[in-house]
Amino acid sequence: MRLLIIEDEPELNKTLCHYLHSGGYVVDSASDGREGLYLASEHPYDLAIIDLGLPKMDGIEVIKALREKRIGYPILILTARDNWQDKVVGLEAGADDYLVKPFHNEELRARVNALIRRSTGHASPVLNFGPVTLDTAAKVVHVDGQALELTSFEYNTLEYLVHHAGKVISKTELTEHLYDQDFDRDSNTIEVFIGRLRKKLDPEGSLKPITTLRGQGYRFNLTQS
Amino acid sequence: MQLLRFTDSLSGRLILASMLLLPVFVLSGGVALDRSFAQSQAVAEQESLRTQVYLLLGAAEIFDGALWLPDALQEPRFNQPDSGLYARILDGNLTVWQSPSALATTLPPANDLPLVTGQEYYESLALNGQATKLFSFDVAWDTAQGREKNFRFEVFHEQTAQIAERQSYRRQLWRWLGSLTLLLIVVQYTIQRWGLRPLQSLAQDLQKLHSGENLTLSENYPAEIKPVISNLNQVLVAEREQRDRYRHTLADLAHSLKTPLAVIRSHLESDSLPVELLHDQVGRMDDIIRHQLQRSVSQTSTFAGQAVGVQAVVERLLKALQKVYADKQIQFDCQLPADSRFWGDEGDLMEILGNLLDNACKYCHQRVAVSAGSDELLWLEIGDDGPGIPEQLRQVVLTRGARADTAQVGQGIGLAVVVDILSSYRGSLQISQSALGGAQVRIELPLRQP
Repeated sequence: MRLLIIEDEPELNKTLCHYLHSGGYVVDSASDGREGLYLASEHPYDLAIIDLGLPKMDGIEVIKALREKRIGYPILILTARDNWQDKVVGLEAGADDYLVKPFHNEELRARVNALIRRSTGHASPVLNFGPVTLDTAAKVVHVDGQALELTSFEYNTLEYLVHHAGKVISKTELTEHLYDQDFDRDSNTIEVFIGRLRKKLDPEGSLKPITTLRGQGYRFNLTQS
Repeated sequence: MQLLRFTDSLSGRLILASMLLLPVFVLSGGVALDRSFAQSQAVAEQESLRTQVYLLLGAAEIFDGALWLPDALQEPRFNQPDSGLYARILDGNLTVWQSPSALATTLPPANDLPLVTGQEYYESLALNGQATKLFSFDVAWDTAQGREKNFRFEVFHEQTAQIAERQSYRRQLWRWLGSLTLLLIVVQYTIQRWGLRPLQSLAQDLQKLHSGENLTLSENYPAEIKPVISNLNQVLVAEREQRDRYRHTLADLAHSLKTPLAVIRSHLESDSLPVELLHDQVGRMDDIIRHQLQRSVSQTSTFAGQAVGVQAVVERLLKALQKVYADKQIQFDCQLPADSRFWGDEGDLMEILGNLLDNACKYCHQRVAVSAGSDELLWLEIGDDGPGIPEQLRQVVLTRGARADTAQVGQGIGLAVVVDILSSYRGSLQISQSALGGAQVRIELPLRQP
């Protein structure tokens, strides 16, 4: 999952990037409204975290501009102003949730997870696909009740495929959403991860959860139960 | 530009208006008086000439079929040549008699009007270069032979005296009207100065207020501006109170922040700062800041309130909350009369309802009901189908920082803020059980009639 953070306070920006990165997200950041709007319109993010009081361009303006461009991924507002008028204005501009500063990091992560889950059309954090169960809050995968040991990259790859179950996801899309910009796009890392995932999810080869479509990408085949 | 500046002042406007209107009134009045004078003069002239004709008729006699008049007539001007008053008697086109006054004067030839007994004729003409009035009267005379004879009696009167009279009247008239206009302008200017004097003293009053000499404006003003003054005074008082409150809040804030800071510093200096303690103190500081900030904002005074439509505010909030609680797919049941109004600041109403609705959404399973109404006061009820608040805890949740359910964040301060705002509007809050099964909060606010 690729996130964008637009926050002008350098210390908070750094802490948030670090925290979310360690939680398995790919994070880009901007420190003013104009730079933020540029990044937010140029890259396919899964969620943006936008502070309201930004230099060069106000947070509300950034959100409005994004929504006018029909960019629809979820937006979480950060605000130091704890009054309902400001919250309502932010939500009316097109944000999906708000968090008042100061906040606990776990609270932020919970909101981010919930918003991403909601935007992919899943109501509950626990997703069941027959024998495969994905707990997006705890970031744990079970097959037939047995917990799998997955690396964070493996988990992220699986979660992205699961969120877009039934759709063909190209290698480029996976790369964009899951890895940092300096990731070597020509390497066969993705294929390696998919291979390992297949082995871990379906050691006997009876389930066939992920299909490779030659020249197109991958598809998660199981249907939600 | 000059005119623009002139219309910038009230007295400038009034003077400009009267300077435009006054000449119109004076001119039309003068013209009307002049006309009516001329008309009455004309009527009087015609009447006097008719009288002259009647006198001539009375003096005339017929001897042997011929008309005879005495040598000396009763009216001396008929006897004196060039007197300006001439008489002539015609028999058809033939002049049968002419007054001695017309000896040296050539009277105009007789007109073609046929002789009709009893016919009067009155006209203006020029005689010897003078404006003259002619009055003629046709009569039938019975002669001794029993025959009837027709004559036309004519009187000419030069208008020199009348014209002079009219000119003198005009001079008098315009002189009077002119002085009256001047007098009116002076009087009006004086009235204006007198009438607008309260505004000048208001300016002085405000000056004193600005320099700090006075705290409010004096209430000694005419009825028209008294309401403005008393409203202004209310604004001033409210503003001063607000400033005081902000000062107090700031002082409170500074003082209350010092305690947690002192705790942290003392631990820092003793080189033992447990993370747990730091968490506690940071949380405490956050609570203090939020509470004080909201209290100072919420305690805006209620006087300058406008009528805020409750329905619109609730709808905006519900739309926003629907986004925040999208997962829960809450069903909102609203019964809000369109005419329910809150008298006060829109931000305050949003704060009250935002906190209450947020709580309801947070604790409900799936349903939230909002209703409002107004009789002697405005009431609002927000209920949910959540776990509710046990009776023994209802008082506790209203106090600052307390939470009935510690798992939910930010609950305590929200309700305390609502209570703070409500009390600044002299409103009240009760917690009971909703028909949906969960908690129900009812708030009541006084109505202010428009």
